[in-house]
Amino acid sequence: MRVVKLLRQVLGLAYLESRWVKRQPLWLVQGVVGAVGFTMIIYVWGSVDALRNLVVAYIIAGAWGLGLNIVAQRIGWDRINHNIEFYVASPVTLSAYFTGIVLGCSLFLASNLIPALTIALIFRLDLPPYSRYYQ
Amino acid sequence: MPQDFTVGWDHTPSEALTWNLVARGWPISDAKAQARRWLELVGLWEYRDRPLRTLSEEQRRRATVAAVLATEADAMFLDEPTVELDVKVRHNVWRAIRETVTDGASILLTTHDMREAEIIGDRVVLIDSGITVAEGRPYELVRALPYEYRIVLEKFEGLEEFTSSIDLGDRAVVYARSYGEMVRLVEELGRVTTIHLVDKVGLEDAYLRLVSDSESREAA
Repeated sequence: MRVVKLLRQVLGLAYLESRWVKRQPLWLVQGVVGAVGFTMIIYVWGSVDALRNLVVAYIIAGAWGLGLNIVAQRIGWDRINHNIEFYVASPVTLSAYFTGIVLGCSLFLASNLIPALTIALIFRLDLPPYSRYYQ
Repeated sequence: MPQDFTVGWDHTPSEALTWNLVARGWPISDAKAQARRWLELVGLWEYRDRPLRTLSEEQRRRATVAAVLATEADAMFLDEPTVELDVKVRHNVWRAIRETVTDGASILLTTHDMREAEIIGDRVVLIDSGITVAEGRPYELVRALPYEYRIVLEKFEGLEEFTSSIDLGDRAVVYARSYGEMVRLVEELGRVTTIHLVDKVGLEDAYLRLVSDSESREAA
């Protein structure tokens, strides 16, 4: 039962923390356009070989961005509008709060990663260089 | 519930109530039913799908109060929950608070509205500048007053003869110790000035008296 309750807490917080999507859906479009544009530039500069590290780069850079967004925006904003007090005076645990925020904000990461992964699949970037498939 | 806290901004009242309950471990179906019950109680059901940012300050306040009381927590701290609410909604919130208390919850509520404290408080702590000046049941504090009635009247020449009066600018409050004294004062004062209100004393009068006594003691 404790696990179910914990999952509900995380789900509830993830939902509450993801509602910015309704106000600013273009942030997601911005992420997708940025990812596609970045891919095109990298492809023009270094062809498929340059694209090979694209997904890894997006995971690293996206995680940095996500972490920055969580710390600088979500938690900061929750402090300003007293959500923190509301959560502290509730059964919500710190781990559930943090996991919920990460999930709620992971749409940012997804808006970068999904186009990057799609491109990686299209170009078969999972294959090692100089393999017989490239010859 | 902090005084300037709003339960959501981008969320609709329905989302804010439902998902805050889920975040406290409630099953989604129970949370939805509870959210509906409380939104109906505070008169926000018809606005349930509008983002809170598009609602009025008063409607957001109602949603926030509903979100807090809907949690059915064992203990709640409400900081001026009825500020900015209109009379009808305030009464709904009072009813909700009393129902919550009757169900077994403990509520610590701060307010500047003495009438609110008198009506819904089981125990009252009167605080002036951070110092407790009295505590007890509201009716006990009121009963401890040496007066029974207050008369609100237009100021007039000779008002200073009444030691038990409060200056309200162009009006004043004069206190009477008994029903007989009140009737006599109304008859006498009615000849020289306009009487606006005759009422039983309440917690507000107790507070003013206690604060005034406290200030006199400090001055001495």
